[in-house]
Amino acid sequence: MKATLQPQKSRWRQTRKTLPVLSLAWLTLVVLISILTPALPLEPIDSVDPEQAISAPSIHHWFGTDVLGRDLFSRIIRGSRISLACALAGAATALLVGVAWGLIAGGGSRQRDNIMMRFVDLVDSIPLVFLVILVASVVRGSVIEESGGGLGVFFVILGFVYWTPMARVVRGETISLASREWALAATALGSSPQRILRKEILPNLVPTILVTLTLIIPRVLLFEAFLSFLGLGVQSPHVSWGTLARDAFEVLNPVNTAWWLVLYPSMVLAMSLLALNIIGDALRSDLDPKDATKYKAQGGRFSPSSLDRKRHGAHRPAN
Amino acid sequence: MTPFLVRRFASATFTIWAVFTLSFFIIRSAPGGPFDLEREPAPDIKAAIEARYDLDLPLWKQYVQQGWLWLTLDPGPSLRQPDHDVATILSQGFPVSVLLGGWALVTGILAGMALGILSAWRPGSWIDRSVVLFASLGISLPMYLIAGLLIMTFSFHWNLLPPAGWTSLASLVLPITCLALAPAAQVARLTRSGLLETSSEDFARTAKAKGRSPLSILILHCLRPASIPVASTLGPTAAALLTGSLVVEQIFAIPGIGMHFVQGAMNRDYPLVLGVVLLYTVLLQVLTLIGDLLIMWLDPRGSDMR
Repeated sequence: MKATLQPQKSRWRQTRKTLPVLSLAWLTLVVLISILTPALPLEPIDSVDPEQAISAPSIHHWFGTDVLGRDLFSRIIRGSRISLACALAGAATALLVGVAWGLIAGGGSRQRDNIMMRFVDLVDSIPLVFLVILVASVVRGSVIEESGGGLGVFFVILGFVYWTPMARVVRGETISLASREWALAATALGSSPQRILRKEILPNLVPTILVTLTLIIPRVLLFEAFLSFLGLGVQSPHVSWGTLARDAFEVLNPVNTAWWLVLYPSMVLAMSLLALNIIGDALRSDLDPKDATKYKAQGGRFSPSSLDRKRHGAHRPAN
Repeated sequence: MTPFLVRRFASATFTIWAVFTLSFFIIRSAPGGPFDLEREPAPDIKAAIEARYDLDLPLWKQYVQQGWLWLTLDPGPSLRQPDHDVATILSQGFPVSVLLGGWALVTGILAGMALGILSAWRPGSWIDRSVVLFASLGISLPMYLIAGLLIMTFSFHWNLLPPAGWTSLASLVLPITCLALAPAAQVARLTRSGLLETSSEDFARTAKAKGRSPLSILILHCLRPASIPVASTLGPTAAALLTGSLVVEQIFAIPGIGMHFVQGAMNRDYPLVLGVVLLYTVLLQVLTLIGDLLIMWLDPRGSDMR
């Protein structure tokens, strides 16, 4: 039995190595396409062709057309631009607020740390997602949106849901790094605490921050799709992967099932989420040697697990 | 125990108050009002309507008034559906939402634990790999994709289950499956890694030395400590379920309270929105408390009553 199991195991190990590479390739493709969107020969955003409405995938329309006869392939590419922008902007908000908060809390006095982390606890106990939905529905149709800032506000509020995990992780890591010998040595050399935080600790936090980011980005991406699906997020004429799914469900009926409208936008989103999760997991086991040995001891896994709960405390999930 | 409960109760009350205050001012800072119609009514008529609902008072007075109304659990009529009390609307939708969410939570946790046990029983086997794959897919697939696939196969293609509605037992199956999938994946992952961790501890080795079978060691000895992480994510999982139920209720046309939340927020139906947010918050606080009590029961060592 053992002998037959052996080659299978090594093939599995091979898969574990190629999966992150494939994921990276997919993400690179999506990012490249969304950067190059204006240069691509896509169907114009306002072109409507009622004669082609809801036609199945064909050579002319690779992914079929929607209820107004618009080419789904073009719309998915346009959507990827907005969806990715949302994810990046949301993650950037979480990054800035979370890292600053965690660094200031972890690098200061005990008392300051206590007060700041109590605040994080408080924020975590509030169902922020619902407040964000409220804010999103309030921003809708308001002056901010009419002046073109709606999308920008939307980007930022996405990030505010996910800054607390970042703050927790950074704060914990800052405290543990600050007690290392080299930090002590820097103090002995006369560096100010601010300088140590900026020049010594912050660079060493980069791996931790990266790993946390790979957890946050898919959440923001999914949350954007969720809000847009409810009609609270991205508004027409802008398209995102979430609004495409919303449009699909509006015309879903048993007589004439437009499966391509449901399947393709969601699959693109799902593949990107899966890719991000796989990369996050690979990064985690590479950048965190302590975790890596643990994963090996568990007999090989590529599952995107959440943050190591024992070290970073409970973690707020996405929707 | 009692000081812990008192402290938890105090912090829950504070959270609920904070949520009430935040949502009150967020929704009131929104432009437009509940009585904006297509055709603008005469100013004096509009003023009369607003005076009827005390919307002409200073904001802080309305805040105090609303807070008092909610304390007495009598929030008054909905602004957009004046014939219905907010309390009536919520009490009609709430059982539906609780039934949906509760079933999804229970099936999700049970299925997840079963899968976790199976995969930790034979680590590295094909069962294990499929569970791991399911776990990563379960948190990567957007809920509406799962809903769409289920509807298209089971309702449209095979005509087995109704695609929408809330009438028969059969119409519960698809929405509950949709909602339960994500928690099942999450719980399966947590259970699996928890079991693998605890099964290498001394007590598990002792049980093995006594001749217990691997499966019974996993279930009888390791499952209890391994389910602590599951209990500690009960609150967040419930929060994710509630947000997910907004989507599921919309797709499957289920008359729960999620619909009122989205609609009410867009229509500026202030008391209705506040009601839904408060209800969600209370529910989350209760579930988080249950999770904490479960942890204390599962792990009596951690009786520091955080």
